[in-house]
Amino acid sequence: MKNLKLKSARAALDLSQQQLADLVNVSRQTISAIEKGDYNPTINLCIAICKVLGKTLDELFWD
Amino acid sequence: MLEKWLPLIIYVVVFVAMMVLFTVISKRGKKVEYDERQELIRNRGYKYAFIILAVYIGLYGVFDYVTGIKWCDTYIGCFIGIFISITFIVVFSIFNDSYVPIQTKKRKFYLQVIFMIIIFSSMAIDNLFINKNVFIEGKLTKDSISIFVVTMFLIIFISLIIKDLSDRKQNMAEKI
Repeated sequence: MKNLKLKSARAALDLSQQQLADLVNVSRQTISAIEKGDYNPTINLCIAICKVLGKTLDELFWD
Repeated sequence: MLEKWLPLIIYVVVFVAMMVLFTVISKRGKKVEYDERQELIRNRGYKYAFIILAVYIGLYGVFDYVTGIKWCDTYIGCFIGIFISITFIVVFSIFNDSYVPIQTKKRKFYLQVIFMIIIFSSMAIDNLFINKNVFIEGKLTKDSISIFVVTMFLIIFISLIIKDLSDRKQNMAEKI
């Protein structure tokens, strides 16, 4: 299932996938895979993404 | 007597030297870093590569036992299996975005692969057309190893190009 909440939160901060990837120290393809729903990130990566985007885990990763 | 053991001694010396070299380089240089998704994919790739190697060695042994046909030296027969599994893991990693560590320039990888192709191509051409010692009495000899190495690096090079082209298309589509 696509993670549109992550995509919209990233877009709201005007960050590209590459910029977000650099900030959380992963590859751009990993961010792309999370947004497409092809990869379930670990809790550590979820927290790192939430911190960068200023969101909570519930807001980004809970349906 | 020494002549018999010389290839094994050379192999052990080269292997130990390479291990020492890689250890020194990895301690001096920047740590190779893959993210969690890349690590998972690489681990899966290693698992498949191991299975491929096991199947190859099994088939190689069974073919030899059943037919009795010796199509290559045992030495080169083992190395072909290693090349197949290494090529598999590299290509698998390339197509799953897990070959190049994060924050590493792809150009460096291209240059390394091109360098290896050039070096081993010259050896392969020498063995194929000048020395003509790749086949002896219908059997692949150890001098064919350079041909397999070139083939492996060519496959890797082509995979890198194909992946790079598809990435560019995807990047254009996903850029916001």
